[in-house]
Amino acid sequence: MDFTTEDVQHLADLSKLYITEEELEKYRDDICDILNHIDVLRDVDIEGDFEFSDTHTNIASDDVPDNKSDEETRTTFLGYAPEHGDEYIEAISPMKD
Amino acid sequence: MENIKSIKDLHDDLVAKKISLKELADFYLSRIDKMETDVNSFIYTRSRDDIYEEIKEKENQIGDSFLYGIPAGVKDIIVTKGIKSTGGSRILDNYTPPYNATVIDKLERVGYLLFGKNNCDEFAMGSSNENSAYGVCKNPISLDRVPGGSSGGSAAAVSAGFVQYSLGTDTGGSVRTPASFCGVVGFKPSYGRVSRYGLMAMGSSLDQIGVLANSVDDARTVFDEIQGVDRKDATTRSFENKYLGRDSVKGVRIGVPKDYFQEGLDGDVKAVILKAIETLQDMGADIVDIEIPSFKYVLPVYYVIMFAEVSSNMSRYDGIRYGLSLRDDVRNIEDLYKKTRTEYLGNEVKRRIMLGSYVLSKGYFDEYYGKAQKARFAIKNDFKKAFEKVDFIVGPTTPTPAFKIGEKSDDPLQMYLTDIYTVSANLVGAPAISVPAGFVERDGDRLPVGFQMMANIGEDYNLLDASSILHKNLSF
Repeated sequence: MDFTTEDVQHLADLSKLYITEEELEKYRDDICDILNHIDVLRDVDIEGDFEFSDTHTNIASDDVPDNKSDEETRTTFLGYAPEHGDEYIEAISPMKD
Repeated sequence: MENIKSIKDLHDDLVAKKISLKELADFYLSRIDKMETDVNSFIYTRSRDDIYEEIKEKENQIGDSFLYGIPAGVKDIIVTKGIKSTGGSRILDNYTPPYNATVIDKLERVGYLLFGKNNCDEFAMGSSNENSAYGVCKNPISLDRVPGGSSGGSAAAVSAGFVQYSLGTDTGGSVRTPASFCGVVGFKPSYGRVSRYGLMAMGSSLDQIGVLANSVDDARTVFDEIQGVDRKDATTRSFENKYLGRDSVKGVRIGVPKDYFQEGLDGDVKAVILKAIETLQDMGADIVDIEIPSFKYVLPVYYVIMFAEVSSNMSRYDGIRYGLSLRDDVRNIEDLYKKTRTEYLGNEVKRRIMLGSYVLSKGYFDEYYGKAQKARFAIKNDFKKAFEKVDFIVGPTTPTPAFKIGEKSDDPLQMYLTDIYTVSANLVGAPAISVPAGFVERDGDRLPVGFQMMANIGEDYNLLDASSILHKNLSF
């Protein structure tokens, strides 16, 4: 399978990762090896109907609020954010550059 | 088999006051003091004072639960309220969860005694425990070898006698492989038996919480307490399978797939496995040759589906809501995501995210992911048909015994091949167990070999019965 360092760069971009120049070739070789191994799948020819979730009946459960107050939940939740204000999580503007 | 007390025996001793909770804890703590620095099976170890304090509270009320006060480990990928849970990743180095996983709530209700959080491959991605951000965990049987992964710390801690049992998780063999390498029992229940709520997701359609223990009976004692339908995990369900309560394997049909004994299987491992099959036969089981026509697709299908699920599940680590965040000199939000993930995620995780992005990308989706879903269905069908003819399917857990640290860490494909016999159970959603079946000699080391038994979906208890009978009758 042909896989170039540019392809790896593109995948890294889709994956929200930076890859250094030194890492590129190693990633390319590893990914090529693995893709060659899974390549047999492209020849799979299976006829028939498929039910992809044959055994599970997923029933959405009702969201039942626990006994904590909204305030407490909000404080806990916000406390985990790397940066936050009183009522919001701080990110960075997508427009900034 | 060495003479290690079972959980139930320890419980009886506690009730009869032959031993106190503190004496029991001290026995394991002294082993941790002696060997943990070498083994590195814990990412977080509770302090002696902390444990003693809990014992003081527990001492006067030894209840009827077998697990009460019995020292336990939990793989660090399962969240524990108020106790740091990293999943083996640097990106969660500052994460102390505000909630318990359902399995932890259940164990707390019966008075379990947590000793610490066990080392594992980052977000359970690995077969050797070399991908942990908190250092390689070593195999206590031979310290220059891997304990297997990804629940390596759990298996090593049980094997070294640091805890009586530990919870692990199994996406493609991550409970059974380390059990095999460390010479302990590793049980992966049917998908949907044990709630995944509070388990950091890796491959959501494959992940299942399991048990590492010294014996099948201990694994069952723990499984009894953690299993069950949970409103917080919609994939849990009840199983209506008939429990047969077998006390012998006489007449039990044992399926042996010839594909499990082809190229790639170590000759000495093969000999141990064939001997275990002979033991089953000697006890009156019927040995049946079976075929799994889709076996050649098992590993590729597993990897495509797992990569896809990984790339989606890992997107939550973005440096915005929780976990570490790299914000110095970031230009925009895209840069923040990328810098954070690049800095705090390990190479194997990155590789899998990229491979997942690839198999899900436009133009390749049908060729890889679509085909893999179809082939997964064909594999399920093959096993369904096989289980019409046999009660259990058996073979090696891993193609080789524990390998040396560093031996495969540079070659991901070789590492992936470790999972060849274990992934089927995850693709099918069936229960499977690895029990120690013997040893092989390697460079002067006597290394354990695991024997795998798999049963049809929902046959967990019948599998535990049969494997317990076998385990007790194996002599080596």
